[in-house]
Amino acid sequence: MKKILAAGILAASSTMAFAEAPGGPNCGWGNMVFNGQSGMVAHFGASTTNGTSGNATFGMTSGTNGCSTNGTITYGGKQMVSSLMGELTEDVARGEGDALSAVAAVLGVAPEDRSVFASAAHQNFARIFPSAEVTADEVIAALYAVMAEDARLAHYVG
Amino acid sequence: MTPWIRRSFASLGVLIIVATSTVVMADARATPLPPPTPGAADMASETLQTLAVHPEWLRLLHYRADEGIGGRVRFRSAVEDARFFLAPQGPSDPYAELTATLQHFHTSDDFSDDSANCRFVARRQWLAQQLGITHWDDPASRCALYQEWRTMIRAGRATLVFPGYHLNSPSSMFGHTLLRIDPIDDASWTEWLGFSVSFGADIRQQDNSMLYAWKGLTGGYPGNFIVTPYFEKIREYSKIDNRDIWEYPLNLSPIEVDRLVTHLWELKEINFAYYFFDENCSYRLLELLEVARPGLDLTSEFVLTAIPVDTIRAVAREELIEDTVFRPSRAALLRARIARLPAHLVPHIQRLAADPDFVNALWFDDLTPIEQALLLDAAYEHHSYRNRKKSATPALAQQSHAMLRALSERTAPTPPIVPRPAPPEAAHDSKRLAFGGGEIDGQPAARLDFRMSFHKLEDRPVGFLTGAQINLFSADFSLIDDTPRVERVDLVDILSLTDWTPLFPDISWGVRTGVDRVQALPGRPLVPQVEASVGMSRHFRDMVVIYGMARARADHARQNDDPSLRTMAGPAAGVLFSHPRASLHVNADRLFATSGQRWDRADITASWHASRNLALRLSYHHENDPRFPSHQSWSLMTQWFME
Repeated sequence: MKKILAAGILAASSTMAFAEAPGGPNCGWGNMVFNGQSGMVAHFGASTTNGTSGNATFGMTSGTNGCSTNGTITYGGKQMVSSLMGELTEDVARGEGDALSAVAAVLGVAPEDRSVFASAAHQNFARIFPSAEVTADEVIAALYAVMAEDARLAHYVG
Repeated sequence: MTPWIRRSFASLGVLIIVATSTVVMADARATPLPPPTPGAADMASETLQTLAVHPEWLRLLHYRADEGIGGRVRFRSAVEDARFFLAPQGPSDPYAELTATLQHFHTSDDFSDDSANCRFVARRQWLAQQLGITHWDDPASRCALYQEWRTMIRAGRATLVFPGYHLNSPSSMFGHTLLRIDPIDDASWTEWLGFSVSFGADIRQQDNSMLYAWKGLTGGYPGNFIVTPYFEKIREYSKIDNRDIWEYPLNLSPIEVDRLVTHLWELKEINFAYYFFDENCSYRLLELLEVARPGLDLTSEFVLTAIPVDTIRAVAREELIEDTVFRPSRAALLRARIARLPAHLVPHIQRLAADPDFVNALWFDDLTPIEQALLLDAAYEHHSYRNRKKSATPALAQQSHAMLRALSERTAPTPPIVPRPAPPEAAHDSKRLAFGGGEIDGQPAARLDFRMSFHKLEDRPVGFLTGAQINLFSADFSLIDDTPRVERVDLVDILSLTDWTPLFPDISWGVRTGVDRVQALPGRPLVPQVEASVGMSRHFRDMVVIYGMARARADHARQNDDPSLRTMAGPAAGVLFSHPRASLHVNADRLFATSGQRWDRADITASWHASRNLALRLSYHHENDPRFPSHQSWSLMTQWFME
């Protein structure tokens, strides 16, 4: 009996841990707030976050991205993308890498479409990152445009 | 016993009786509680007494039992934070805390984010489970912030992560451990999306290194748990600090990981005392694992020290580790990129980064597209590496962008392969005891030395960085004619011999402080001293290190009963040959005192590494002060390494 109860309690407390995959067409980067940081700026310096609140030190930067509560972007939106800009630029230039995979996951791109996504981004490097001053907003807008033009990727941004 | 507590006992007793009887349980909420009877209260109190010393309860509250005088067990929680307890005497009284907690859970309907109901979710879950209580509301459905957090941390799997050694920062020379939490069975997942869980000292002020060390040793800093996106950790360790990362996926079940994460929530913003040596980042993670899997004992063996790599070995011994994953640092990848570059391109690495208009440069145009791509790939990484700690300037950003853009227009080379080194847990254990004998100035002498931690250049190099020496507290003793003597005590002894190359112009340095004997002076006086060195090293095939340094020393040597502060400086040099089977280290220095005297020292140390934790060491030491007869000593010692 105790075992069943225990299982019940556990089940109840763990169901919400298996929410939707991060990202998805109904939320996505467009909903996030960016601080307008230049992509290349993120290359340099330890991005120290001074004066973080307790919530921030516990991974909770959400609540500002407007997505976390419905479970679509479960991943500290703003901080993550701004933070990843540097690595993302590198990976798009090379056409592969962990940052590119992470961004694909956040956009909800299925594993089987990841290589299509990577090469589409790679071929359009100059469009996505036209200058060193490009902002995260512009990068996202350009990425969406590139995806919309690709037959395999269009439905992710549709 | 205060009336308040007594009242709580009575009502609790009843509740427990009600809750544990399955028949009544179904309508426990509806049925008014019967009046307490003395018998029931006693029985309940007995149940509670048992529960209060239940290992799982003690772990959830981070109590440790110390056996006091007369076998009386005293409890003390490692948490130094009133917000963590519901009973005033909670920090030292598991029973009071248990009853106060039950009382609260039974009576409070406050489910605001800061309420005990919403903060102490693991206690709630555990008590409900132990007492068979089903009518308590689930925090997961009533606490908004907790719910949000759990949705974000998709807890299914846990991985122990060890960012490797890092020479040029004393605070991270011992390595570090953290946990990564990932969801289970999600094909779209990448590890970069996981969350890291780490415990660290909260160093708010810009304390200097000495103060940092002191406070770190004595518990002067509060420590707390921090949860951050894993990719930020990768950046911090791999890119900023040049540390390789070792990942050890654990075989915890989803239920065990759930238990871990549930308890982790209770530790949000909760302060522990942070002790650099024992109750540190690694120790607290072991505690989390013990909460995850009841019955596991990982912490009890760590009494004096919990050195990160030792804790990895402890976790491995309990058969929790499923796999070992190596994630080379950005610097290691950069070195591999440079290594595969045709030799004639290497000089162009910095030239490329220095020229904003390299695309139109004639020399660049002369290269084949494949050469251009290889060069761009390496030069970009080097540019990024060299400027990793600078704040961005438009010029730096533009140069990066130009290089990446040029790279994107060519076929990018595949990522280089970095050969996987021996994992850190394959290294010798951290403490060392050595015993043997030899001669000191011609007299037979027995020798004994002990080192609390961690690695000397002559020790077996497997699992360590080449040219790194770090020792915190070591003591050498001798016995001549039945007279025991302290030969030397080092509080800190660090030597960081980093390979200097034109592309990686890293300096070497060393510090050592404690007491040692000035063997060259009559009577071999024992003196407090501090030494610092700075210089250059070259590495050859990861096996030979040659170094030259400038060394300064201050000590307090008593001469003719007249204590005097001596300051001196001079050159130092050495050669180290280091192999998994044997090592040889030859070094010497010549110091000139401000008073005009000269002092020479030379050491030769040969070690044969019989096995991971056993070695034979032969050392010879020579000292000379031209005014006095020279000193010589040698010893042959057996060394055991232990945790």
